[in-house]
Amino acid sequence: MTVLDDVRRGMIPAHIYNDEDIFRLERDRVFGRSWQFVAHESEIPSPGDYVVRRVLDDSFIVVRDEQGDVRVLFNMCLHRGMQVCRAEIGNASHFRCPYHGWSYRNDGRLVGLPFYRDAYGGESGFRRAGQTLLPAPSLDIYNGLIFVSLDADAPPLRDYLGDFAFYLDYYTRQSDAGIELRGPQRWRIKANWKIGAENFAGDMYHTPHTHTSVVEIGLFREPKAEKRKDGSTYWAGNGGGTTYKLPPGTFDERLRYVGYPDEMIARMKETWSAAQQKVIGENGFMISAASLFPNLSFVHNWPKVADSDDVLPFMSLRLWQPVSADETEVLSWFAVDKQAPEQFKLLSYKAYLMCFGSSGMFEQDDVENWVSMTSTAAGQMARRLRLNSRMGLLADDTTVTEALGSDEFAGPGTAYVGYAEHNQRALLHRWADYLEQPIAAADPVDIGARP
Amino acid sequence: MREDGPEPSAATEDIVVANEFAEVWVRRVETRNGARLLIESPRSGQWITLCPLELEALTWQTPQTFSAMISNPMSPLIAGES
Repeated sequence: MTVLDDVRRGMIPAHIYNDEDIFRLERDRVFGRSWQFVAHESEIPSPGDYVVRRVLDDSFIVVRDEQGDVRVLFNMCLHRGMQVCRAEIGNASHFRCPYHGWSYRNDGRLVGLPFYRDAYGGESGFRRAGQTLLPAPSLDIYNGLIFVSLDADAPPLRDYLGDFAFYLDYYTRQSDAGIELRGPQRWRIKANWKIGAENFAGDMYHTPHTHTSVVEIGLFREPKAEKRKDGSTYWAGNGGGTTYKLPPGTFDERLRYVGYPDEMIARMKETWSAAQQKVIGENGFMISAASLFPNLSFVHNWPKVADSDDVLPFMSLRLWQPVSADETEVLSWFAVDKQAPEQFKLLSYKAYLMCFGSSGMFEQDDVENWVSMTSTAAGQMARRLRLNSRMGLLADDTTVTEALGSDEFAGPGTAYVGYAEHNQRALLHRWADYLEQPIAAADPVDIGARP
Repeated sequence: MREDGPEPSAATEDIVVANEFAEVWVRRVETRNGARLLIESPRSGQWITLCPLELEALTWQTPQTFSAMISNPMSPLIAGES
């Protein structure tokens, strides 16, 4: 497909950001196969706690069963296909379908069919034993992040993450206790899902322009957003992200500089590997935004939270959940280390709300661009335009700046200082690889029938 | 019916219901995403948390259900898979 070839050489046919045919392929070949984040374990801490989440059109109940195990169950009654759970959040030992009252244990097992004997003749008519709500074909957890894949033969999640796990730890394992999430806030934007994923993966270049006003009102200590060009971008395994360059100092001093209290810094030192500490302490880079292919993003930043020069860091996880070619549901969570002091959690949440979430200033700035891009990509003219996404590459495909050596950047993968679109290309390269591979139809499951 | 694991944290004061044969403490407990009713026997240390649907199911029963449960002391009425 020439579209994929164009994407691979860094020339993006503009219509891929609003194209029904492309979206159908993405639905089957990207979202039918890749690992999809659905929830964090901290959202379902007790037996019976559940949340309802989607993978594109498929609704899943993410629940901790009475034994304490995490289950992800297709939210469709085995009888007539009604949604079993309609509340987004709750606690239940059993789920009962609203339509005919079929009931399920919270591990998915079918336990009750009203008038089972009269209507079905018991086991001889309908084999109830062993029937369960369909589990997600694959389920795996990393640092409490619960992922599913619609592909029963998906590789282990850890393999899928690859070296990106090194960076994921900065966001999700600042201590042995891990993170807890608040939210998500959930809203819809008339923008294609890929734009947010690309932006968070590597777009340091938009910050000085799109987010000028955030700097002008003094939300950040650094006087100029263009400071971003001193940061680095990295791509490793199935994800990549951006960093800021910090002023000289030790590991402790640099973490203090972005606003972490000493007790949290001490736990990071106990938890992170020598290489993970070196990226900050010796190389001087602090993680900022990132994306894991295809549509999960992360952000870490440190605005001022009061009328002083003191800054405080926050983290957010966000999912760019596709609705259609031109619409995305954004799920935005606040994340914080479980062992962080209560006052830190409070102020960090405030910092998050100022910057991200449905009312966050960065979010408003970004989405204006993304909505406009998406609507413009729908027309005839967009089919004639190949966008240049080759920033950081010369005509012969050599890079404008050299990749950082291991003495300059201790993390895995490939990293560069300054503005470039290496990561956006890496993300879309994977996208092209997925789109190219047809997906086999899965075997259907008969419910209650004799084999 | 469980003895293992930590008890859920109390959200309300205990209600004590007792007679010459038994004593139980009952209270509402909050989970992150909902609420359950905790029933605890202080003598045996056994406890159970019931969700709203399980509690509603109690209202459908006759004394015979409970007679059957009571006739099998300190054990589940239906043994078997977890």
